[in-house]
Amino acid sequence: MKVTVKVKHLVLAALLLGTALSVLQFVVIPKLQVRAAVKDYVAGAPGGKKAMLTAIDRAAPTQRLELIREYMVSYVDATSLRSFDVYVGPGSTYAFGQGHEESRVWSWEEKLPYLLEYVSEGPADSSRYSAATQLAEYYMSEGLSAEALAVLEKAEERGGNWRTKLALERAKLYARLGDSGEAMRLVERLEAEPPSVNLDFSGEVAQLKAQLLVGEGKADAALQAVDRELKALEERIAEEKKKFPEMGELTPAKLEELRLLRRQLEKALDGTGATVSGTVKRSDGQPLARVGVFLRRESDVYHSIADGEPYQIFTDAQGRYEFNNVVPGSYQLYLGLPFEQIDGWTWPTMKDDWIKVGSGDALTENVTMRPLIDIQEPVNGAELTGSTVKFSWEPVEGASTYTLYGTIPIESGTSSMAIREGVAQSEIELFAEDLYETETSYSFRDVDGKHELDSASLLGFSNPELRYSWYVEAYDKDGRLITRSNGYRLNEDTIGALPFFYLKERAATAADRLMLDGRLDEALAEYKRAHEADPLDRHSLNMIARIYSAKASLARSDELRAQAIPYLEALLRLAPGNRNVLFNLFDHYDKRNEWIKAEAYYERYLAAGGGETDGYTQSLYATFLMKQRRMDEAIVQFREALERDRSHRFVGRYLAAELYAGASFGKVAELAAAYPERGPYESGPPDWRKLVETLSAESEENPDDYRELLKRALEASFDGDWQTADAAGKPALRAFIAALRKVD
Amino acid sequence: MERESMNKKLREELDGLRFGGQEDVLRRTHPRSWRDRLRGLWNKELEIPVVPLGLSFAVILAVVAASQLRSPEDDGDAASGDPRQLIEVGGNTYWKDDYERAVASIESDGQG
Repeated sequence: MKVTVKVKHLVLAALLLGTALSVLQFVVIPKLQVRAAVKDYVAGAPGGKKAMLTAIDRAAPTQRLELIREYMVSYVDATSLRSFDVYVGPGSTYAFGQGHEESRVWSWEEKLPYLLEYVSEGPADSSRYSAATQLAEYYMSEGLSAEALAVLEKAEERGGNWRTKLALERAKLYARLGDSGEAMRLVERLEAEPPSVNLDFSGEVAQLKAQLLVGEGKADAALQAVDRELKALEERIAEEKKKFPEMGELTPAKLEELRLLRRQLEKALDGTGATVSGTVKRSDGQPLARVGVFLRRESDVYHSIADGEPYQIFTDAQGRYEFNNVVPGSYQLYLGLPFEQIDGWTWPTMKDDWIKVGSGDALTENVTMRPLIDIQEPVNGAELTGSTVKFSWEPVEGASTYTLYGTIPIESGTSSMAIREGVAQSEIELFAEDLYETETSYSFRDVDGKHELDSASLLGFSNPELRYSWYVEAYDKDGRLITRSNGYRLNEDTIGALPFFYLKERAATAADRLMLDGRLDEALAEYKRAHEADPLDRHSLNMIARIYSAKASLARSDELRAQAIPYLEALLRLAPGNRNVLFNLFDHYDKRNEWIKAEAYYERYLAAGGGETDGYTQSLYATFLMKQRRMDEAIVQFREALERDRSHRFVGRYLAAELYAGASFGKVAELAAAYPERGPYESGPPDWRKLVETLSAESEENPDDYRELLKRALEASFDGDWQTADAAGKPALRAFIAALRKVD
Repeated sequence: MERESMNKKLREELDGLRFGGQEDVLRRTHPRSWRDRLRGLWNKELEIPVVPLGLSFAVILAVVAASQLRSPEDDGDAASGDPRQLIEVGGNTYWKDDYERAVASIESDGQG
């Protein structure tokens, strides 16, 4: 087939085609490329970052800045202290990084020129502020403080609403660099500015000013500055409320922050700022650069890390960090890490690791990450059928003991408990029965709106169908955690053996099946029948005691608890060394004030553990002694327990014992300061030192009568007669007794 | 007769018309200036075979398109998948796909 065309038509057609192609080439395809790049980048696809860089480089100037803003400055802001994948602190680890893949995180090499461009070309918006602060942080971590200051100043000079915030950042940087004079000059300039629409801003300025003043040893001036700001802020809030009554309750975050700071300053009135510094390294010496370090106040550690917390920093290339002008008080160190820094490693920090910062201190707190322990057996879902179970793992250098933990899947997740503490070798062989009789927690479920025991969970380790798992922790001779086997295992090299196993040594009995079906009362009857038929049946005994205890705690019934006792005693005859049973029996007789029996069980409990105990149990024993007025013994036990349990949760009782034994208020206040209580309370644990000092003040009028009054109130409290204890009538004494009552 | 009258009529009707395009015709048949030659070229008629030409266009277009946009296999598995999920089991945290692969390989070992 042929067609006849004139040359001119051909040329016109070619021209048309050319135009169409150019439109495609210069308009449509770049748009499609940007779209494809965005899609790939957002999905974290390999090559997504490269595609995004190409798209940025080819885009028209306005779109270029838009892309930089959208996908570099603000998107998955991997350089911000708030966007690490994992945050680790004493006793808590939490991950935010679900789905954030490495392939979306820009390295500084990649993003540096673009951020610089945004700072000098971009509009005066929050993204420019963010780009400038990110750059400043980067320069600081590279040790280039002059560049850091310059980039902030440059962004600030270009004007806009964010000018003052940038100046504040610069002031903070000067403070960090130790140039308080320059920092203070900037703060004063900011104070002279008209008030910002942002209610938090002036609070932030005041906070920095207070820190600077504390650094100079002027805590009283700091307190005044905070007070002034608090007053101004409260007035402004009242004003805003009047203007916009429909706005409802309005509490800027900074208001809370300032109140906290105020409380802290009050405690440290005579102090000057301290320095806390150190390095973050792996045990092989490799420093961890650009990880987040957070020095968190006692009142902050019970929530996740927030923007307003004052001590947050990145480590530099050598893994170093330093906080200046730290207000004296109690702190905990937290780390922010990307996945690849924690993958296969752990930071062996412990629940009650507190940093006590005193006035003018220069403290060094180094962090050493350790490799996770490799586990050996049982692993990978092994089905264990023998009468003993052997756990083994790679030995850890410097480990003096190990603690073996078991994990049971429950309806809402998992529940873990120590199976054995103080294991001397890197392996241990246990009888299957030891596992069955390990005290496990149980869960509840809602049936037709009623809160019920989940009977299957009461089976603990004796459910042959359940897949259990385990992990191990290594401790040095001082009881410091060295490392553990459980943690982040995110690649082929670190994933290791899976810590799962099944216990199929025994088959489920008829009663067990009733438990699995949720028929608790029928199961209890069946266990009792089995126990009568075979008095040596340890499993049935254990289950009967367990069911009664669980029911007792659900119903808060002493009567139900008492029903478990004969079964526990029978079980003890079959398993004389079972510490859980011994502890439960001690606890039971202690609560009933049956001193002789309780004492006997506590002694057996100690003997079964080779004389070892933990802070909690020892504190209960000390309380038991205190209730019998065996004060000298109680005081010795309390003191030992306080060294072991660094949460000092029973310090109130110890102070009561000391006061009862006749120690002076001054001495008891000193003890209270030496063993501050740490507690998971939003409002903070009781300030025992303050409570004792107010007692002391209250006693001054008539010291002898007051001591008598105090003794009578304490007596009543030891006997659990809180009404009499409270009736003393003096406010400070009543406050002390009220705090004592809450000790648990 | 009739033919003659027809002829006469035609002549009468065309009497007012004179052919004045001799020069134009000559310019086209024997172009002398560049302009005339160009015009000739411009209006030249070409016979084009549709199939081969169409095909070659299609090939060119395909090559251009392929060079501009990535080929589909590039964005294959990774881009289509959701971001990876973390999973917490047995006290450890794994990537879910890694973990599922590990479990699957253990199960197949167990059977084999």
